[in-house]
Amino acid sequence: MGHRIWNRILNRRRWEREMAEEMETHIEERTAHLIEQGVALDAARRQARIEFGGVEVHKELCREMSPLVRLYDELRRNMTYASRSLVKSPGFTAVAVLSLALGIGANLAIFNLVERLLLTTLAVRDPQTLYQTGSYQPNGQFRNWASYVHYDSGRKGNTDIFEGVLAWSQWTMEVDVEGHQEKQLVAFVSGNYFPMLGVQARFGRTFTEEDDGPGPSNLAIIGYRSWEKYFGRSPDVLNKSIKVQNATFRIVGVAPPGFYGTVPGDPPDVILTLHGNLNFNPNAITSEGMMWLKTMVRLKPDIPLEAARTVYRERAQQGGKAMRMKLGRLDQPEPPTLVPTAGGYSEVRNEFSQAIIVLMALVGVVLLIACANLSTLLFVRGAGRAGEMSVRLALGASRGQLVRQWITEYLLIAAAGGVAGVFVARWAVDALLYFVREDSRQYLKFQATPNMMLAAIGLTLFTTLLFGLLPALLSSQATPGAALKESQRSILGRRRWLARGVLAFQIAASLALVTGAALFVRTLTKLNSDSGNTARSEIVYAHVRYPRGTQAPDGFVDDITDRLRQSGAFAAVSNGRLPLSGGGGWSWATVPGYVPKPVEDNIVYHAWAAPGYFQATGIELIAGRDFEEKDRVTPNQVIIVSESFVRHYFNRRNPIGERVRVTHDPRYVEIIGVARDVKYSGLRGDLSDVAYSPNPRSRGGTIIARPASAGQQAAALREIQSAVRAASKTALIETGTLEEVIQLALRRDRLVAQLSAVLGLLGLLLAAIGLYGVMAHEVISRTREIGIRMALGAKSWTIVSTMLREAALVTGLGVLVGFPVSVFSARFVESLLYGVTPSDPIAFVAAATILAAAALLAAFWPARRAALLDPVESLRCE
Amino acid sequence: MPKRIDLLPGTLDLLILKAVSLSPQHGYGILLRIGQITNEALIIDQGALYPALYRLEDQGLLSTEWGVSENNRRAKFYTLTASGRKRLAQEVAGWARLVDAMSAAINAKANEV
Repeated sequence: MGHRIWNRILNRRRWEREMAEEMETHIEERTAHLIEQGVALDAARRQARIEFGGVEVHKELCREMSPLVRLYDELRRNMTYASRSLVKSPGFTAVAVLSLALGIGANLAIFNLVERLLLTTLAVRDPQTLYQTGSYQPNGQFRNWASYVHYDSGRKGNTDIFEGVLAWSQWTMEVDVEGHQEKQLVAFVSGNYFPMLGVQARFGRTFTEEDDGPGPSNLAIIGYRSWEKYFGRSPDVLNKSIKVQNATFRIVGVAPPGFYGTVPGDPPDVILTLHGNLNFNPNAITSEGMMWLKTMVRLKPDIPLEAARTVYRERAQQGGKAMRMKLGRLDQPEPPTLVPTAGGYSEVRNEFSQAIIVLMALVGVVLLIACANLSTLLFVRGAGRAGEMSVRLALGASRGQLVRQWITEYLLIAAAGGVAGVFVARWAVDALLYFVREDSRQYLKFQATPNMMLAAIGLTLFTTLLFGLLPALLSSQATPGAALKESQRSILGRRRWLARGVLAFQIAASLALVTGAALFVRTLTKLNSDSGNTARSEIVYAHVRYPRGTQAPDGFVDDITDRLRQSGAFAAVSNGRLPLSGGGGWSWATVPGYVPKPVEDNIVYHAWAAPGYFQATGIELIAGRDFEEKDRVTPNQVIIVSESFVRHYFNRRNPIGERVRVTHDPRYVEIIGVARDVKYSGLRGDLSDVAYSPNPRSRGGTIIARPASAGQQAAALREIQSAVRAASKTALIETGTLEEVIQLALRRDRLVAQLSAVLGLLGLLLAAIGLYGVMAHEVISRTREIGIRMALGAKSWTIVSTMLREAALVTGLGVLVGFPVSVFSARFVESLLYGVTPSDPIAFVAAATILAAAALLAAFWPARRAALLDPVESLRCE
Repeated sequence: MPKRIDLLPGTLDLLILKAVSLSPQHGYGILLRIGQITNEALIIDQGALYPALYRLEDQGLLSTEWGVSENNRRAKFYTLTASGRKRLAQEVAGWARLVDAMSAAINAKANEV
C-alpha cells in the first residue's frame, strides 16, 4: 500500500485526473441508466448531476481522506505562501538569509578543516593504537626527530611495551623516471613500515624487515600516481629502474592509490628503504647525530597507555644506552612522551589544531548570534503579522495549520541560508588556505564529502529549530478575537521581556567575540613589536649557494659582500645567520666558576656572524668589539654573547676577556663583546642565550644587508642579485626581506587575529541589526503613546532618551552577563596569546566600548525617528 | 417503492464492503448493488460514496484497478482486500450484536422488566 500512496504523491496530477474521470464515469453511467428507464437525454443528464451533488465538494472530501495527499497539498500551499510573503519583504529576507549563510558558511568552512585535520584517521590497520614519540619543548613545540641509531635501539629496547616501532622521513628530490625528470616527494621507510601499518602493495610487493640493511639498498616502491602516469598501469613496471638523483633503484612494487602513509595529504611518489639513504648520505645509518627520522610506535594491546608512558619515560631518563631508547635527541631536557596519532603526522595539524578548535568555538558563537538575531527579527515580524494570523484563525485555519505554515517559512529561510552557506564555505576555505603552506592546500581544500553535506543539512535544521522555536510558539498563541480587537502593541508587549532577553544574549555573545578578537589582535601586535630588533623592517637577505656537486670558489659569499659594501647602496652589508629565522645550532655552555643548579637549562644557541654583522642586522653591541677579519682566520678563538647569556652566567661581572665553552669543541673561547638580546628563532620564543661566532670565509651562506635609505628593499634585492650573478652564472639565490620571513612565521597568529576580528565584527553587526529591528518595532508600536506624550508637551530629546534608555538597559544587561563569560572563556585560549593576559583590561574595556557604541548607534536611528513623529499624525494612526 | 430511510452513521462503510465483497465493482455499480441488496430502502447521496471509497482504500480495505464497465466505459473497479474481508466480518458481527440488542430492547414488555 505504501508505494501506492507514494505514487499518488509523485503522480499528484494523474491522481487528480483519475479522480475526475472516475466521478465523470459515475455520472455518465447514471445518465445511461436513467435513459434506459425512459428519461429524455437532457433531463437524464441534469438529474444525474443533481443526484451526484457538487463534484468539487466531493473531490475535496476525497483529498481529505488521504492524509499524505492532504499533507503534500498543504506543504505546497505553504511553500507558495511562504515564498510569496518572503518576497514581499525583501529587506527582511536578505538580512535573514545572509546572516544564516554567513553563520552556516563559517561553520562549514571551519568544520572542513576540523574534518580534514582532526577527524580523519590514517587509512591503516588500527590507527587508534599508533603513537608518536617525542617531547614537548617549554614553548609547546613538539620535537620528534631521531637518528637511525636511536631508532634501532629504541625499537629493540622497548619490545615489552611496543608491538613495533616504525621510522620514516620524506623530502623532495630530483627523480628520473622513464626519461621524465621531475622533483618528486621521496619517502624513506623502515622495513616494518608496511607490515606494521597493514598496508598491501597495489601491485608487486612492499618492503619487509629483511630489506633493512646492512648495506645500501636499491629497492623502490612507486606511488600509484606515478604508475598510472609513467607506466600506464602496466605490470611490466616491476624490475624497471628509476633514478633518484644519481642513484639507480629497482622497482619492486606499487603503493595503493591515494596512499599517503603516515603524513596525511602528502602522498610520496617514490618510497625507498631507510638503507636506501646510504646512497645519498653514507653515514645515515651509523651517525648518532644525524637526526633525520620520525618514528611512530604501536602500543601492545594489553599495555595501558599510562603504564607505557611511565616505562618509556623512565628508560629515556636513565641515560646511557637506555637513553637511546627515547627515539629522539639525546640532549633534550624535557621528558619524552607518547602522543596519540591515529590521524598521522601532520605539520599543519601540529601548527593549527589548537587555533582551529578556538575558531570552531568562535564560529559556533557567531551562528548562535545569527540565530538569536533572526529569532528577534521573526518575533518582531510575527508581532507585526499578528493581525493576519488572527484573521486566518477567524476564517477557520487550525492552529496546527498556522504553526506548520510558520515552520515552512522558517525552513525555507534556513534552506536558502544553508545552500548559500555552502558557497560561502567554499569561498571562505579558499581564503583560509592563504594562511597554510602551499603544498598542504590541495589536501585541505573544501570538499563536498558526505560528512560535509550532513553537517550542512544538520546545521540548517538545527538553526531552524534554534531561531524558529520562540517565534513559532508565540505566534501560535494568537487568538482569533484578541488581535483583531487590541492593538499590535499588546502582542509584543506581553512578550517584550523575551525579546529583550534574546537581545541581551546576543550582546553578551558579541562581547565575548569582540573581546576574543581584541586579545588576538593585541597578541599579534605584541608579537610584531617584541622582536627586540628595531631595524627589522629594513633588512633584506639573500641565501646564496652553489648547486649540489659543483664547487664554489673559496670566499665566494664574502667577495660578493665586499663588492656590495663598496657599491655604497647599503648602510651595512654582512653575512651570517639571519635573525629570527629557523634552523641554527646549539649546545651546552660551560662557564668556569659557574656552578649549574641540579636541573637547569644550559642551552646556548649558535649564530654565525661575519664582521659588520651587528650593524647589518641592527643588533646593538653594548660592550666590547665587533669581529674583525683576523678573527676568522683561526676558528674558535673568540665569541660575542648576548645580554641574557651574561645575566645567566656572570651576574653583573664584566664578561669581556672571560673564557667559556659553548660548542662541542673542547677548547675554551674568549668573549670579546656583548650584544643586545633579540629573539633567536620564532617571535614567540623567549630571549635565549646566544653565542655569535665569526664565520669562516665561506662558499655559501646568507648575505644580510640594510639599504642606505628606507623603503629601498626592492632595489637593494635587485642590486644583490646582480652582484651574485656577476660573480657566478650558476649560483642559486633565494632573496627576500626579513619581514617576509617573520610574517610567514606569524601566519597562525595572523589567521586567528584576522578571523576573530572578522567574526567579532560579524557578531557585532548582527547584534546591532537585532537591536535596530526591535527598537524600530518599538517605535512603530508605541507611535500612539509617543504622539500623546508629544501632544502633552514632551520635548523630542525626552522621547529620544526614553527610547535610548530601553536600548541601554538591554545592552547593559548583555554586557553584565557577557563580561564574566568572556573572562572565563578567554582562559581557554591562553596558550594562543602572547604578551597579554586572558583578563587583559585594555582588551575588555575596548570590547565593551565598541559594543556599547555599536548598540547605541543601532538604537539611535529608530529613537530619532520617534522624536521626529508628527504628534497629530501619530494620534491618527491605527 | 417503499419509503426510504436515512443511513445510520457508519453503515455506509459496511454496505460498501458488503457490496464489493459480492464481486468487484466500480463506483456506480456499488451504488446499484447496495440498492439491490437493501431493496432500495436506503438513501445514499451519490457523490458522498466517493470520499468513503477513498477512505476505505486509504485504510487498505479496498484495492483498485482500472477496467471496463458493462457500458464499455473506462472505470475504476474496487476489490475487497484480505484485511477488508476481515473488517467486513467484524462489522457484520458488530452489527448483528447491535440489531439483537436493539430488537431485544424494542420488544421488551413491562412485565418482563
